[in-house]
Parts: sequence; C-alpha cells; structure tokens
Amino acid sequence: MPKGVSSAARRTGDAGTVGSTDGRSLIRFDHVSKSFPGADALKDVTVEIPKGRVVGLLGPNGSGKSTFLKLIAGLHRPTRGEVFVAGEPPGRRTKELVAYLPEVDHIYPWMTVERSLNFLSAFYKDWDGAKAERLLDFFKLPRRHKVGKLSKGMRGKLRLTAVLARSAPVVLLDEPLSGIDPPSRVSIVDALVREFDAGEQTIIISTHEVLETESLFDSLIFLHQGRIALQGDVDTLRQRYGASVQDLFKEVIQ
Amino acid sequence: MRPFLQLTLKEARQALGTALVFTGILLAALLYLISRLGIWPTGLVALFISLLMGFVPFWALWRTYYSLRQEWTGDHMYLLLSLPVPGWYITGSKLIVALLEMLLYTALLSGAALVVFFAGGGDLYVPSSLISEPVFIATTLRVALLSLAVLFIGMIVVQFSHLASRLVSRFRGPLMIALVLVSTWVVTRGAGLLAPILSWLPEVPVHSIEFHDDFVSVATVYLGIAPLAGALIVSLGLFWLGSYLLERDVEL
Repeated sequence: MPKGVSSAARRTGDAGTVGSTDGRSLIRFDHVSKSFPGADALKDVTVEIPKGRVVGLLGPNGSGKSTFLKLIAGLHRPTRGEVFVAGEPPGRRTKELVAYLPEVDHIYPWMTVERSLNFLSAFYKDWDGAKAERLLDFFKLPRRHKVGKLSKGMRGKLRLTAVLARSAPVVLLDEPLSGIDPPSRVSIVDALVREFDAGEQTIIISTHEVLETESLFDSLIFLHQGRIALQGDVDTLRQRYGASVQDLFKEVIQ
Repeated sequence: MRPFLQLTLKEARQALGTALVFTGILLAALLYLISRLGIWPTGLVALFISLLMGFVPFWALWRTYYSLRQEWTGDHMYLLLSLPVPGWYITGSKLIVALLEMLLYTALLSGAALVVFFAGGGDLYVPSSLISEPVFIATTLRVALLSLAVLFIGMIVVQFSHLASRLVSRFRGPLMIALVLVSTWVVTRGAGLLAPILSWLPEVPVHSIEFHDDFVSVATVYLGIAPLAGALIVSLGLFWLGSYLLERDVEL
C-alpha cells in the first residue's frame, strides 16, 4: 500500500464509514477478522455502509473481497468481530434482503434459462417477474436453451438477471465482469444502471475492471492484504488525492 | 411449502437420469431372471434376486452421499445456501427423493420375489396350507418396510457425516468415515436406551419360510420394533443437527 494513500486515509479520520450513514447503516462490520487455515482473509475490518449507495469493493487478488461479500451473504462466519445486515447477523432472515452473485457458475446447467429463473422465483418475495422478462430481452438470453449450453458471457448475464430480477435492498456482485468480453461488459454495466433503485437498494460490486465500473460508484472500499487501505466517497477521494479511481486502484495494489 | 416443493422437484429432476438407467438395468436383470424360471432351479433365481437386493443399500448410501457432493463440485451450494430457507428444506428434499428412488427399487425387487415364489414352483414351492397368499404378501410388505426404515437411518447417518465433515477444510474423507462410525454407534446406543421406553409399540409378525430336504416349514417370528423406532428417533436428531450445520455453520 502506498505510504501517501495509507497515511492520508488514516489522517482523514473517516475510516470505518463509507459515505454518510445518518445512523441508517444497512451493513456494518465491527472489528471483523476472518481466518482460514494458513491465511488471514480479513483483519480487523470495521466499516459501515448506508442505504442507497453503489459501493466499489476494489483490491488485488487475495485481498479479501470475496470473503467480505460472503460474510454479508451469510456464506462465511467471522472468526472475530460481528457483521450486521439491517441490524441482524447474517442468517435466513437477512438472506431475504440480500441478492448475491457469486464469482462461480452456480445455476444448474441442466435447467433451461426460463426454468432456472422460475425455480429461483419460488424463494423470493421480492422477485419481479416483469423485471426478469425485461432483463432476458435486454440481454437477448434464449429462454429455452439449457444453461450448460450457454457461452460464459451468456451465463454471466443469466446470473446477473437472477440477481437483478429481485428488488432486494442489498445486492452483492462478486466480479460480475470477470471473463466477459468487452461488448457484454458494456451491456452488463448498462443493466446495472437501468435496474438500480437508487432510493432503496445498496449495491456492492467487487471488481478488477475499474475503468468500466468507475462511473457507477458512489463510494469505494480498497482492500489490501485483508485490511481496508482506503475508503470514502468517490468525489471526496478524487478531490483529496487528485487522482482518478483507476489511478488510486493502481497505487493501492502497488 | 412452495420452496420445499421446488427443491424436491429439482432433486427429482437431478436424480432422474441415474434413476432411469438404474431402473432399466434392474428391470432387465429381473425380467431375465424371471424368464429363467423353469429352466434354472428356482432357488438359483431366488439367490440372484437376493444378491440384487443386497446391492440396494449400498446404492442408497452412495446416492445420499453423491446428491450432496455434486452440489459442492458443481458450485451449486452457492445457490442453495443463498436461499432464505431452513437447512432441512435442502437436506429433507434430498432424503425424500433418495428414499422414493429406493422405494421404487424395493418394490421392483419385492414384486420379483413374489413372482418367483408364486410362479416358481419346483424346489421353492410353498403349500398354500402352510401360508396363504395374502399373509405371504403382507409379510413381504412388512419386511420391505422394515428394510426401508433401516435404509433411511443409514442414509441419514451418511448425510449427517458428509455435512459435518464439511466443517473442516482438510482430511474430509477420513473424517467422514470416522463420523459414519461414530454416528452409527450413537444411533445403536440411543436405540438401545430408547427401546425400553418404546416397548409399548406392537410387535410385527413376520413369517419365515424354511426349506428342508423333504419338507417346507413356516415359522412366525414376532419382531419387536422398539429398537428400530428408537434408532429412527435418534437418526431424526442427526438429521436435524446436519440440517442446522448446513444452514448455520457450513462455509463455502
């Protein structure tokens, strides 16, 4: 982590808050550490994320981004500290509030596109069938094709459809653009912009593709070796360091 | 219950391919064996059917293990554990489908056994004066149900052991084997402790046919099902614990 950035971030005194919370933090990490045998994925992370933000979760490979998202999704438990989603520890109830897009292909390959969305719709009260249809059309996904027969880019779009078809207050996207060709990336970013409900939803996007996604972010969290290296509102960070998000990202990972 | 139904339908669809292939093989084998009646000694045909029956428990345990394992190997556990459902929806739907599959195989094998006994004649002929057809069919059904109950307990033990072994990141295989042994001991020990409390349960009459050199005898054995009921109760506890671990403690 560059000295200038790290010392400046500590100097600002806003470490722990992404944007203004006004006491309405939707997600809260309270001194959270997560260890695996032989590795510490997150170390003493404290952060609050308020409602209605698009947060970029940036950092090099192995910096703890996926672990951060899995803790919110309830797929990991903290080794130390506590995570809260809408005031509750992640569990069955918070899963109703969280739409999670993992990095892996998690939808059954033997299902058709249509069947996979019908299957998922049975579990979520916030499922919006019209929105799912709109996204299928927007991404030009063939409804009767088997998921396993789709290209990687198409499968990525289907996974995103499955997440965005919900009106969930928290949307977690783990590397949504990873391995997807540039034209498809543009359509995915377009879909995110179109479907984001600014008043109600909070989106956390973990990504390496800063250039394509920079325009989406209200706030940023830079992770480095399991710790928060830098965080804050995009505009504030740009002004403070006189650098674009892309440049800040480069500086942090170096 | 729509989520549970969806999960069960999903499980059924996932199991369909393998179940169809296995059913086809089993049917072909049984039809071939039945076609040998009158050509081969009936006892030999019955022996082969018994061998096929002996294969079902191993198949059931493998299916229980595999239906969970494939969720991890295919990364589908990300989908299942993101769903806002209790863990038992996931484990229960898997058990129900595996049990239905085993019910199908048990029905096929029991049917074949009845055909051999009633149509076989020859060295396995049972005089109707010794045992009537309805009694014989009732005995077959009772034995099939008791076998399925034992199978169900074994399936729960395997499911629980697999889920508990997922709590560690290394040596899962040896741990799972150790857990199968330990949980089998827990079930049998628990069954022994609960049996006296459940001794009020009625005994189940089962007719045992014995073939001697020059005559056939039928003995009625009364099976006390209290230990089996006790084992079922303990294994349901393991089922709950496995489902709890899946929902609350298993990580991806």
